[in-house]
Amino acid sequence: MSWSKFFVAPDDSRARPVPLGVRMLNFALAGLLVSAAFWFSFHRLAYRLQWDAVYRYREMFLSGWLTTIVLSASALLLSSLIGFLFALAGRSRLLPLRYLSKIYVEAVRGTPLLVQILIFFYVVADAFGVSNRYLVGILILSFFSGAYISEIIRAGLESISKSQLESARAIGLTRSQTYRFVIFPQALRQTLPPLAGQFVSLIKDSSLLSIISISEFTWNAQAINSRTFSTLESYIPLALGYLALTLPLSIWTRNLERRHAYDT
Amino acid sequence: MHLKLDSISKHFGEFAALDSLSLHLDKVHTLVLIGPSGGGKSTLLRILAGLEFPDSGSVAINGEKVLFEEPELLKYRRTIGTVFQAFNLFPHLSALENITLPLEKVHGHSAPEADAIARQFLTRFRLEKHAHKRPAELSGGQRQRVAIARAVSIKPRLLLFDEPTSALDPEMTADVLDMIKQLRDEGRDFVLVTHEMGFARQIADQVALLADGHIVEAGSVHQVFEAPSSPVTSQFLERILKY
Repeated sequence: MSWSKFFVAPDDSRARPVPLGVRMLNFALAGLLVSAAFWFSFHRLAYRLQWDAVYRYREMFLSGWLTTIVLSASALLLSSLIGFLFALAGRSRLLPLRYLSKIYVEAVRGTPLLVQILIFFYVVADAFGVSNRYLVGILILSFFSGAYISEIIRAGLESISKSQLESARAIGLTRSQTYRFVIFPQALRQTLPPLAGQFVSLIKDSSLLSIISISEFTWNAQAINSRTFSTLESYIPLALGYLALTLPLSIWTRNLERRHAYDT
Repeated sequence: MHLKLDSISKHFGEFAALDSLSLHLDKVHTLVLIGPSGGGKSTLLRILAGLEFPDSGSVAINGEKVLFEEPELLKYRRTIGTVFQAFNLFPHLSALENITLPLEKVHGHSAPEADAIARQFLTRFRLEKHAHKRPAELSGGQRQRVAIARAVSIKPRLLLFDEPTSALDPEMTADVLDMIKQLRDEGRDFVLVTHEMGFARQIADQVALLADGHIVEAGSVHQVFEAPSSPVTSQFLERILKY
């Protein structure tokens, strides 16, 4: 079939990459299908989107979006640190540390973020006298995401084969040198794709902080909605705003992954 | 080298890999260990490499007793060059970096020094073209030669080879064996586990046959191959030399 070469990837796409023109054509086609589906749905709605009411609040959107960036970026760094420490604790020979790590991971992964936010904010933070809700928000998000990251890092560390550890021992590396020069660099490659996914989730999960009245992107959109009664007009920019953060992250990590790629 | 092994035992659960093994050798350069699979060759080599603790017994090299306790054992391991069957190299490092890593981080050479030493060995073993390739881009034989270069570059007092060619094609095997022969001719001390009987005969000063965790027979090449005293040795040689 002569048509198939425009729409079907070759059997072995590594030996014969799909031509750029064909890729663009099919990307446009898929995009068109999605747009058509949405256009049809909105068309049936028989409701004219009114952007002018919402447009007046554009600065509120922007400030919420920036707050979300700051919250997510801080939580991203802090949760990586927490995940890393708990992954090491989980492998520690000190048993209290090991079980502390297990309890933390299972408790956080097994309960809804919503409940964690409420308990942490109204009970724990209150007891410890932390009153800045932005700080509390970053801490909650970091501990939530940290549990998942710790599992991702643990899996990465465990993926290093025994023969690698044996080689490291045979050449006389100490335990910490083995981690630094043999295990971490190899585990990094294993952990990049799931880590990127987790970071994307973290950005979206930050929207739940709106329930403790942190004036981030989602909370601001809700506020604009209640002032203008333009629900769709408030929430469509919200979706696009999150996409603008998560999409570059995905693309960036995919590039990073390629750079760290090697056959084993 | 003077090697003194006294009643070494090593159990894995119920299984006795080494059962009160003793061997005394004076002035040996090349000790080759042969014998059936599961006979204890690799376990003995791993004990000599300081990678495994014996349950009991002692090892002494040139009159120095090996202390099977960290951190002394770590220091001991640093004086031994070990080459395994396969998968020795670190896949995320180039051939050159695989050699410089122990030189720099374990043996305290500066980065330029380590680089110079590594290049010298790569050139000597005709691997200089491959210095910047990662293991995945090298053939099995090249990988094993880089691994040997890494083991030799630290100036070990003893080299240990655990079936260094059993994961390789015949053609590559020849390259690796050539390299080992060169090292032997330099007068380096080593212990080699192998199934290549022809090669064993060529390079060994002393041969020891292990079966069921004991030394069944030990002696010169001529003694073991031509006039074995144990029926186990004759049987083993007969089976392995049949084809």
